[in-house]
Amino acid sequence: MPNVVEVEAVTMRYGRMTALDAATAAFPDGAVGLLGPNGAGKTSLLKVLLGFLVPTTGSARVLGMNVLEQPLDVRQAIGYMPEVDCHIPGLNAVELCSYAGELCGMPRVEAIQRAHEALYYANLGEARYRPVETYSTGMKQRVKLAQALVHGPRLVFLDEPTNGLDPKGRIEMLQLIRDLSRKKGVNVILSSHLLKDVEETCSSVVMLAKGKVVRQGTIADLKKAALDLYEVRVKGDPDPFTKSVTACGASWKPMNDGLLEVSLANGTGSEILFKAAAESGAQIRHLTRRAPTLEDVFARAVGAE
Amino acid sequence: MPIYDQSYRPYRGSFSSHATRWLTIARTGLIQFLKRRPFLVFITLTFIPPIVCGFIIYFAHRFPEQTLTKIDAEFFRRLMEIQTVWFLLLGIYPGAGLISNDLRWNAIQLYLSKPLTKLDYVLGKFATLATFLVGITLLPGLVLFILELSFSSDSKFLVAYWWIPLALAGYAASAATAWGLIVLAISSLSKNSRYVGVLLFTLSLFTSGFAQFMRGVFGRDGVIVISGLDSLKILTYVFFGGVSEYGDHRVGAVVMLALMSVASALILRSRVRAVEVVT
Amino acid sequence: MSTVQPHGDGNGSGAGFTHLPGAVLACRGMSRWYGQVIGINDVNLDLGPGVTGLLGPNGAGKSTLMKLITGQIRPSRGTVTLFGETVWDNPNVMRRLGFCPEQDSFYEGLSGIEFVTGLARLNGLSRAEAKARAEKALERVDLLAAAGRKIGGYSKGMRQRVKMAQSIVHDPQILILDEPLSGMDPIARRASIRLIREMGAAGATVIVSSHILHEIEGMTRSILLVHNGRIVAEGDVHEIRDLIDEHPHRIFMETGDARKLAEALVRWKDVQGVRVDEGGVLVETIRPDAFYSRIPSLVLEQGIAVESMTSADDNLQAVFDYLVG
Repeated sequence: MPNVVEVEAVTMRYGRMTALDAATAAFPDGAVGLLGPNGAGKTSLLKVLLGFLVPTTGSARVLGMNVLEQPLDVRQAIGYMPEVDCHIPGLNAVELCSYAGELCGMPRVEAIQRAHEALYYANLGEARYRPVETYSTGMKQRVKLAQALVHGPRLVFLDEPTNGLDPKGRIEMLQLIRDLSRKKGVNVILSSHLLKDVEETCSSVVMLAKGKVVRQGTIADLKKAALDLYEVRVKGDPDPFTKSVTACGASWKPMNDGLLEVSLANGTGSEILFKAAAESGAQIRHLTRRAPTLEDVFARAVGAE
Repeated sequence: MPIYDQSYRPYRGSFSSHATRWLTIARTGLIQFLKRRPFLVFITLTFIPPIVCGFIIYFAHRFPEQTLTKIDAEFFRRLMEIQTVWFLLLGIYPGAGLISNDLRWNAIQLYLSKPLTKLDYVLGKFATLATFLVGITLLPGLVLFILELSFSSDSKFLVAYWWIPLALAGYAASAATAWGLIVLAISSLSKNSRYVGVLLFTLSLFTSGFAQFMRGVFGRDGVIVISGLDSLKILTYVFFGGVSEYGDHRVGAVVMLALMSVASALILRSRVRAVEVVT
Repeated sequence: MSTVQPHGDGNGSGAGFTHLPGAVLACRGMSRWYGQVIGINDVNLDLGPGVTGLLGPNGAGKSTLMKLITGQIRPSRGTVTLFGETVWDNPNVMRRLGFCPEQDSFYEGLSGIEFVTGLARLNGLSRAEAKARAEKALERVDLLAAAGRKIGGYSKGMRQRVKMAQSIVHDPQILILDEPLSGMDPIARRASIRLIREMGAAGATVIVSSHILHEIEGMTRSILLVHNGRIVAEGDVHEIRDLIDEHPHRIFMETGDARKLAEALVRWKDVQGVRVDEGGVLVETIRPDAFYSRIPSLVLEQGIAVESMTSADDNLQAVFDYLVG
């Protein structure tokens, strides 16, 4: 499958400040996460891809079209869900979405029909006939998503889509995103600071730091499980257990939430942990191989810690 | 847990050409204002002077001995001058919020992320306001012209004043363009439509008063063109002939209005361009 | 909705809830309504030093609760006290209180250091003391380098960190944080979670409200779950989970000898279900304590290699879902 977005040596300079520095990246199809600390150049990259910033040097292709040469065609084929709250005063959800469709050139009747479909998909019910000003955060997020989908784009940019949503709303939004990218054939580029959101929806990521692309690839490739590190939690006071662990020849380190990171000696396996538990009378409540999380990959990639 | 099998289908329909996007913006803007009762009342008020003029024309033909006023080019010019008074109010009520509300509610982000250019956006907004401005000048002017024609028993009026519809169109177009650009530019300066309204009001009155003051100080009537609204009044003379109370400063007025329009266009360009689409 | 033992009738009135002598924050029969709409309904609460996560769906009453605790509004009924004194209109108590609100609104023309110093002075610190403490606070949130710049030029994450700095600048004994991590990038989030843990460990009473459950899990095990204006559950996450009887614990044990393990497990009376999956066994038990204490000896006796043992639902998300979802 050809790449959905290709960025080639894009450099963006504002006076003396360099926002993007020869950034080169490929976004495959499906759902891709766009990550980076504040000021890394994510927003500048998004602006370049939407056709708003002309890069100082370099080029970018979205869905096979050159962004510099065909900015309007690019925006025709993509949808954008902004991070900030945005609406047009006085319109309700249906009017807003059909207006969005008409702005893309859809005939009025089709726009209204698609607006309703998109709002059903985003799970906004009867509230669609009330003005958008009166909506709760979760409803506003749904409208923003629906207006991005009305014209049937092949790629959507989602900017912090779970902002302000309560846990249930977050789960529903992430389900929608997974459904869009895995079952409905709409490519997704998700920009978020919540790495867990990205892990739950995307199969690959592109990481920016200080204007450069520091990592890109599938999440699975970027995380490689350490072979002899285990993550353990015991019930109650861990001291007797940790003493037994040391006695059995392994070493341990405390982590947050009461978890322990245990490093086994060569040639030993997980039975050492159960031996230590039996000897100290502890209950092991949680046991897994300690694999780096996306957060670990991120921290190492951007040079922190 | 809800199950999402609501069909999200890909869109297989057509897209219209990009040239008509500004029309969509203009139309939606118009409908939004026409939906509101206070606005409709206001628009109705603006038609009172033309209706009065209609009666004047009627009486002029019904009782020709008692000439209240002569129906000539000056009559139509005076009508345009009167209708221009409404321009300020139209600038404050629908005009002030046109771009400032979009700035405030981040709607420009929505617009600009669609396949249309910033020019389309500005054109659409301009067209919303211009429709009203032209509607209260050209429309009643034409109707009254036809009314006068229908009352005329001979073709003397037509022969002498066939050019009036052109003058009406010319004035309406240039006045609406100049004023529309000025209002839009000021609207793009702030996120608060009330500030914009106040700013517009104050600027107009201030420049008007200042112009009178300068006129007194320098003794030169030409200075009056500093005031946009007064320049618009002088503009009517450009199209309808005659000389204003301040003397013949038509060139000055045209130059001033052109300068203001260009300045407004530049302000608009920089303000709309400066919008951070992705924050 | 499940019931949890310590709060039998769902709102901890009367004998239902645990009194904590020497508690820092105490609420008794506290209710607050707005006209007809009830915000908080008859809440009884005792909180002491350490970090507590405040959770609940939107509209549950979390912001009302925080406003009552920080003295921004008064209860319609009942009392809320900090260190034994009523909060309302009480500068003595306010001096020991730090609050990081959710709203983002600043004096944009001030620089970071000016803003935090100014707020520190409002707490009664002298000019020199306020500046020193402000610098310390800004350093703790990793904003000292940018402290001289105007807030108007800060990124969203930086603005959030300034808010956090002002909430801790006067070393408060009580710290209320409303979505403190919103807008921060992953590095800043990690650092902030660590900062909050440190403040709790140092003896402050910290209440953090957030929707991001796994981040709360990173800060504390002690939670306060609010729904429909009432407290649904309070205490340690895992203890609460143990007490939710209606939902048996589901535990996945990864092993190569799945059948052998399943055979052994199904003989235990408190095991309600055993499912053999590829790669392991999924067990359901209503007596997790008994189950977990017998596992080590079983595994060693039978010589079964268990690679991992994870509970699908012994976490905050599950507790949230079962009690509120």
